[in-house]
Order: sequence, then C-alpha cells, then structure tokens
Amino acid sequence: MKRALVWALSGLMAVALGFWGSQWLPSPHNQRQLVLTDMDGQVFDSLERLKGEPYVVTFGYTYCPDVCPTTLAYLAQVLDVYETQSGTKLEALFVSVDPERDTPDRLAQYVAYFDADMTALTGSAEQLKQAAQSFSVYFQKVDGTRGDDYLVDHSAGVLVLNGAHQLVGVIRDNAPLDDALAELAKASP
Amino acid sequence: MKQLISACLLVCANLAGAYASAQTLEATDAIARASIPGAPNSAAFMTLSNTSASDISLVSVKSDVAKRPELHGHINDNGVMRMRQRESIVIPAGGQVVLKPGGLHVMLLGLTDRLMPGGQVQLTLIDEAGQEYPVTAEVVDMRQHTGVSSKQGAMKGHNMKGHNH
Ligand SMILES: [Cu+2]
Repeated sequence: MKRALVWALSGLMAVALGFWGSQWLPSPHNQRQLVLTDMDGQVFDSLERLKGEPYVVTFGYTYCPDVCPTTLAYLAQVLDVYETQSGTKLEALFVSVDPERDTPDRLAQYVAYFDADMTALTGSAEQLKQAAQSFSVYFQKVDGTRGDDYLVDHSAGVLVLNGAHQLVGVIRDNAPLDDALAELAKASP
Repeated sequence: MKQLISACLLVCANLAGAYASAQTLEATDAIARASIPGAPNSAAFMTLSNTSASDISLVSVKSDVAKRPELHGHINDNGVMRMRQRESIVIPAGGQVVLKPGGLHVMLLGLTDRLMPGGQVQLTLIDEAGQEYPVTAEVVDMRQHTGVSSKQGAMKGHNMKGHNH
C-alpha cells in the first residue's frame, strides 16, 4: 500500500513538474521516455521505437539474485495470460541499471530465458539517470567494497504505459493475477 | 506448479551427540533457483521448523556451489527492494520461518557452476553455537513457481518427513 502510494505520489510530482515544464516544452507533460541502448547495440528511443504502442517496463539487473528473476518470470506469465484473454500482445522492456556488468549479450540471454519477445536495454550512467527520472524510479549501487561483487537497490514492480506513453498502471510484486491483468488493461482502454 | 519437485529433508542436529542440548531444525520444500543464462548468482528457499524447545539463531551458511553463500533478507523501502545480508535468522522454539522469493533467502553469490534443474545443492546452516544443519535443496526452474500458474495446479504440500541424512 505504502509502495503504491509512493508510486502515486511520484507520479503526481512528475505531473506537477510536467505542468511547470510544459510552458516551455511542446510535448505532453507526462509522457515518459527512454533513450537507451538495445541488445544489438543500437540506440533505443522509446518514443520512436514504440510510437503509439502501449508497453510495460521493469528496472533491474542480471546479477539480481532474487527480485528480478521473480518479477520477470511472473511478468512473462501475466503477459501470456493477458495476450490469451485480450488478444493484445504488449511490448515488454527490461532496463538494466547495471551497465558496468550487463553487456548487451548477457542481457539478451537473460531476458530470452523468461520471454523470447522481451527487449532488454541499458545505457550510460547519464542515460539511465534520465530514464529513472522520467519514470520516477530509483536505483543505487550498494556493497561496492568487494569490487565487482556489488548489489543494486532498485524500484521493484512493473510499470504500465499506454499508447501515449503515459504511466497508467503499476503491477506490484506478487500482485494477484487479476490485479495484474486489470493494470495491463489500462494500457489499451 | 505441477512439477514442484519437493525437497524434503530432515536436518540432523543430533550429530553424534556432540552437543549437550541438541536442537532440531527441519527444512522442508528446500529449493534453489536454477541458473538463468547470463546470471552468476542464485538463491535458495525453504521452510525451517524448529522442533526443539529453544530458539535457534542461524548466523551463517556454507556451500560449495557459491563463492559467497549468505543469509539474506529484503527490506521493502517504499517500493525499493533493498537486499541485505542478515546477521541472523531466528527460528523460534516450536516455530517456523519461511525463506521465499522476495523475502528471507539463502543467497548464492558467485556460483561456481551452473545450477541445472533436477540437480541438488548442499547447504549447511550454522547457528550461533556453531552447530551445523545440513540441508539438501532441489534445483528447480523457478519459471514454474511464479504463482500465476498455481491457479491451475496449486502448490502441493508434501509430507515426506523422515528422510534421514
Ligand atoms: Cu540476497
């Protein structure tokens, strides 16, 4: 509940900032954007690559021992059920916030294990910072004292975006299937 | 969930009567997540039942399958999952503690080999008195354990207690 509230609040803040910014910017104030690198090493700008398409996105990293695999396995099954029931296939993105270790190759193998159609992305520290800001998510490297053996704290859950790339839903970890399907349905009203 | 390979094991705390106050910890449904391509870490989960009359405080774990096996927990900090090593996991006398995805777990950092479904992982839980509790965890493909498919085939409990190791 607390988490949902935080998502909601950060959403509100983003909207508020958006209103403020919209005096200068022609684009819709709460349109979310990712400009990152895909598994083929190509630039991936969500506003171009997924133009007009709803999608879901989750943030994590492949060294993530528990939360990410749990979320991705769950998401793959939820998307499957959603596709069967609605006839709509949603694009799914996994954004690695650990570009130092998550090479495009590693990411491609990793997401394919869960969902052959999932797209994995990562980017420079600056690009990831921008992406996190746009989606109101948090990530922070921890335990860096053991060299390459660090962990990364990050926002959990799956974000749902509509065709205008507005954040319309959040699927919490371990949400009941019906709740998850209801969130996904908001992507294509 | 249909093929939840249940690992059952009884931990023998009573090792050769080496301890005056032998404590008994039983681990059921012990599983380890099969390796994901590209991912060097994994985790193991189980239900721990303390059948003795005193609390058992686990302080560490040993295993050959990972460079750094650790006892871990998650702190959900306003939607940010912060995973941290635990100084201890206490199983109260006569009580149970469940290690599960997103919660407490045995962290396997730096796998020495890929964990393949159907295989087994040997873990040794150690309490504050230095007593060791060996646990055998079955390696499972956790894609089958998302809870979504459990609508069709609910996770079956199993009672195979009595395996001695
Ligand atoms: Cu952990």
